[in-house]
Amino acid sequence: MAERSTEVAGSTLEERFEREALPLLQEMYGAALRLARNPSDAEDLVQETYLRAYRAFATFEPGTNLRAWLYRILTNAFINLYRKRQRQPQTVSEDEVPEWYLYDRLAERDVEASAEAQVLDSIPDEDVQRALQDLPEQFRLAVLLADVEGFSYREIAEILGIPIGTVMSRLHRGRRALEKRLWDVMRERGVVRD
Amino acid sequence: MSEIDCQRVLSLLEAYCDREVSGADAAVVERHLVRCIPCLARRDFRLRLKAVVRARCGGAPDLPSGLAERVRAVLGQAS
Repeated sequence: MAERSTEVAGSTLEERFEREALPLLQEMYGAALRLARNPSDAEDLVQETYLRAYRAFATFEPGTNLRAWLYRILTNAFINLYRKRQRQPQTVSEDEVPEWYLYDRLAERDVEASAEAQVLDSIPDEDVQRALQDLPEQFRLAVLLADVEGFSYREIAEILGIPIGTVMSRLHRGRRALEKRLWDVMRERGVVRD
Repeated sequence: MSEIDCQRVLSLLEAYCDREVSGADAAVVERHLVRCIPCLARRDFRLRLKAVVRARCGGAPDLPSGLAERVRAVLGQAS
């Protein structure tokens, strides 16, 4: 491509990509693994992401958020590559989970002040991971981007290409659905009793 | 502590815990949390739940061996 050899601030696009995007490879692989859920698909996803990013790098505005830009490409690649395979019904019942679902259930049982927060630490790693993995895809993406990857509402809106109000709504519903799953798992494990 | 105060603060708490509330609204939340133990407990719970999800589901796993080289090779072919 002709514009690839265009120099920006004394270095070519290839050099800038190498210097700025490649150091994020390990982080992007972690994110890809969380999205795709297995190492083989995560590898494919990372390669596809870097290829798309490289080809589009001329459109990346220097000085803006490269991490969020790469996540947008990663998330879009994931949705395009795996959506067909992972189609699952977006259950309406998620809306029926009440506000403060988990807190109120724990509070009914605990006598100690602030034990509600501490009991969360006793949930095994794999149970939290499974609860998140089991969320309907739209909710899972929102919670992953906010709570695991640490993006702001505005960044998530840009990554997913949706309005901020939709980000807030998906996060809110996703977290309540997550709380419901965590509560179910805690009862199964006997961490709490009915 | 009026119930209306608690309702207003609880409606802002999720976004507050996401660091998405600023200015006058943030000041309202902060003034309230100093005085209201039940709302403070809910804030602690929200923050702890976020921290637990991040700690259990996050992290940067080691790159599979050879992946960095394969990515570079793909880029080399594209340029």
